[in-house]
Amino acid sequence: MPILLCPTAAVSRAIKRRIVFVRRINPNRHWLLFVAGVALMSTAWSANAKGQVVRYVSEESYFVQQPAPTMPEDPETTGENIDQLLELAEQNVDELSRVRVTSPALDLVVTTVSRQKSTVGRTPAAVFVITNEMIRRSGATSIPEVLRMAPDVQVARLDSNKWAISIRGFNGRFANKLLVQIDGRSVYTPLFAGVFWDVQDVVLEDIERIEVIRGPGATVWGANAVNGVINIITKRASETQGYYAQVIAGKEDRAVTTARVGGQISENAHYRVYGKWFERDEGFAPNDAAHDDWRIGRGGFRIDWEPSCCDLITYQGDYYDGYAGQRSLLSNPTSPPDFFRISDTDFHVAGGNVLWRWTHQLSDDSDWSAQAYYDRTERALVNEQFREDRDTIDFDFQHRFPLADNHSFIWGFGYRYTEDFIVNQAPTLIFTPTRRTDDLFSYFVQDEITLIDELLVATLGSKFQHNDYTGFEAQPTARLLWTPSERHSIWGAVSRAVRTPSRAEDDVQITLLPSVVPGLPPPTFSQILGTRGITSEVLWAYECGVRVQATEQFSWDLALFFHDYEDLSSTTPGTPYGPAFPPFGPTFLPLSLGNASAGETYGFELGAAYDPTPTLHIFGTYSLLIMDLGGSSTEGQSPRNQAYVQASWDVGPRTEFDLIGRYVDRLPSLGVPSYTTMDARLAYWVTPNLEAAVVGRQLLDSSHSEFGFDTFTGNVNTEVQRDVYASLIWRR
Amino acid sequence: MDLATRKYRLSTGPPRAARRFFRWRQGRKLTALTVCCVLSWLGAAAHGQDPLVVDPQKEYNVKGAYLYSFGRYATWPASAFVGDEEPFVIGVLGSAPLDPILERISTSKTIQGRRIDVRTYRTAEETGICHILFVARTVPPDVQQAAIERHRQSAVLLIGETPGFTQWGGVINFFLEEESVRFEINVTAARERQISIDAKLLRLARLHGQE
Repeated sequence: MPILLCPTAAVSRAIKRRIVFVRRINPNRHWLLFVAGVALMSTAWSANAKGQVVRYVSEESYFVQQPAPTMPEDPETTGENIDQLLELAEQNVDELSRVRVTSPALDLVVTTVSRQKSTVGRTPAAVFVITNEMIRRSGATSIPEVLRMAPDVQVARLDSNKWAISIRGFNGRFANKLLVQIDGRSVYTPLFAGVFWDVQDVVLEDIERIEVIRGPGATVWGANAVNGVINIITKRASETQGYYAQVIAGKEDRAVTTARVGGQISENAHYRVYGKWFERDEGFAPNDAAHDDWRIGRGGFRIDWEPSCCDLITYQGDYYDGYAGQRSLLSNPTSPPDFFRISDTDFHVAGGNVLWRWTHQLSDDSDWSAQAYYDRTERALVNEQFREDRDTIDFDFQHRFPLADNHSFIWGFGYRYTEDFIVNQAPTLIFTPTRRTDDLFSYFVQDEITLIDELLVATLGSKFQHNDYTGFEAQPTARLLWTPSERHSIWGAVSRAVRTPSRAEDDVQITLLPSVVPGLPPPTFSQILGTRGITSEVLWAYECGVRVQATEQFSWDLALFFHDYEDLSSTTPGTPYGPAFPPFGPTFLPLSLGNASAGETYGFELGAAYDPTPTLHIFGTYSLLIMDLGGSSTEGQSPRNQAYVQASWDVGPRTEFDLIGRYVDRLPSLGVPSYTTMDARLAYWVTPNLEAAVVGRQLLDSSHSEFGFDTFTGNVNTEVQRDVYASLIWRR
Repeated sequence: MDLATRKYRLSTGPPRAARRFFRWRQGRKLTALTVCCVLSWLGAAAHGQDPLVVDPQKEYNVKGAYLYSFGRYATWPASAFVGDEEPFVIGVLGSAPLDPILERISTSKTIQGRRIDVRTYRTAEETGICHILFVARTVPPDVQQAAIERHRQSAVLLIGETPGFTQWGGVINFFLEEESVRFEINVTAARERQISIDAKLLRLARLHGQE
């Protein structure tokens, strides 16, 4: 039943006139609040709060009825967009009748959850979309830093080039329950089923959006999409035409230089080429122990060709090369009395990829796409032995079509081949065999059933895969979306997801640093041993959530989850062996990997966005995460409470001011205290083409620790330091 | 464990998980239930309130683009133009935020080889010779009807955005449906004015009157 949306002029005027609650704060009593809150908010409001006083509440607070604010010039609806509309009017009038004329907010596009375009408001999953504008205004200079703004994403920096990132817990350097993709290319490594964050980078300006899905996305994306999916999507080449150059100089971000050129090959083919180079300073560690400086250069291209109305062929590639430093403590069972040595060295990292994708639109609600990519990564310790080279070839196909009146059916299949070559770092890190190739076959089906038109939609689907570690796996999901009105949606989901074993869990032998184990002659070296025949970790996830666009200015969403894990990875102590000359060491204690652990996590995530005036945008998130894994130390490696607030204020037509506050709870099992920090950004548009900005990050303390010592690799952590940088951006 | 025993273990999942969930401490379960109930209630209570807000600037940009495409896809009788140099006139009666797009159209586009002239009128009596006359919804219904009456015999494409506009004798009327701007065409009124409308537009429109 179509709804006629014809607000009279009076109604829209009433909506535009807003009532703002102003509270005067006694500076003597609440000086702290005064400094933090009033400095930003009341200054922002004072310019607007000149309206007529409507109602006094008390001496200190009153309501002000404001005149209708004049709408700022929205670049999307004027200027460029007018030309687009006129182009439609000339060439394709049909499209004109599909142009949405309502305000966006819940209308951000998401493709990750079901692999088809949908809007956040109509997605039956916990989705958070980081837009290009949010990235620009955050002042973040790397992908991990950008991810901090998404709710319930745990981001902890270990040193200047290493991060522990996870969603809904199980965080660690080798967090392995997350799928991360850049333009459809999976970037987690089958080595340990996690992500080497030091080599994941793009030109942040070219990111269209980052979709962060909390909870399983396994039904369409497959293994590893257990706790969440992060999908980084860059703009089409046609949207990055012209020149872009950025120079950053600062205390920690020593130098970041980016240049991009976009142009046209023919009327319907566009390209862009970019280059980026950065150098980042070491973190803080006492006694000059930090050796984690980091420099990488990268370049790449993207070509988008639309040979006809309904075809899009994308060809893109990247190449990078650089060094990421670190200090490690490596166990050395044959050299008393310390039995370990300090290794200050760099990882030499290099890699490249090429990707080809063909999307063909068959009709309005039917399309297919085929994608193939080749990816190579190289990682070698300079001055040490360890080296890992990996080649991956991936092919993926999907097809969407309507089935009967109310079914939207999507299916697909994929094949991935990965081959690695490892040079062992004896005696600390040994892989047997040193060469391995793996095949992964997968296919999925999903049906989106409209039960009641514009009210109730059910999604049923499953992914099936066959891998070389555990054989056949199935990952079904059932989701329900109820949209009582255009501005509300309520959803629930039950899904099963598996995390298939990684190369390391099958083949590794890690000798940890010496410790004292009661009952064994010191020193004891624990040895983590991979186990052939280890099975997948299994998650059954129960989720529900609600999204509300309460008013034009205020929206919020809430997701609750209960995750039930079985067959979690665990270690079982074996029979100690060792000392050649008892009672003195060294003794070795084998710890075999198995699936003996189980547990549950639950909590909720709350996000809200509020625009009190047209020039002030505030959004914030809070997440609560409770992990119950029967006392395992993993429980205490993810913060229980996290909060994020960002206020973006357009001070004038040329000036922007942004303030970010962040709270991260303590990590009890790592002995890391909680921290609160603040970032600030002040930007000034010198000319319409030139943006100058000063950004301060981690302003509240000179340095703080975000994660504990990594026992697997012996990497020495450094603390995150206060950073100030200046940036110049030129666009043309 | 060999491959045979690593079989698909789906069946062990849900019952155990469900058992554990329902053994969950009573307090927490109640809290979770309460939260769910409150959320459902919020959703239900909110249902029916909050008319969806249309962004006027977007709405009128689309309507402006339509005016331009109507000019392109409709044909006026030769008598509607005095000479070859005469402009194509788009008239606007009443106030509507059409200025940005109409300005762009008049400066950069042509309709049927003619330059485009935009004129705005405040009253029905003011409206002069034009090829398209857009009547804004801010105009009172009686004034709208007077304007339609005034141009009943002439080749003017009368376009409105008020329910009932085509019943009064207007040719095209905009309405909003599914967050987009749609339109209805009174075929009889168009034929009376000797304006023929391309099938491309007719296919998109909701039609009234005799074929």
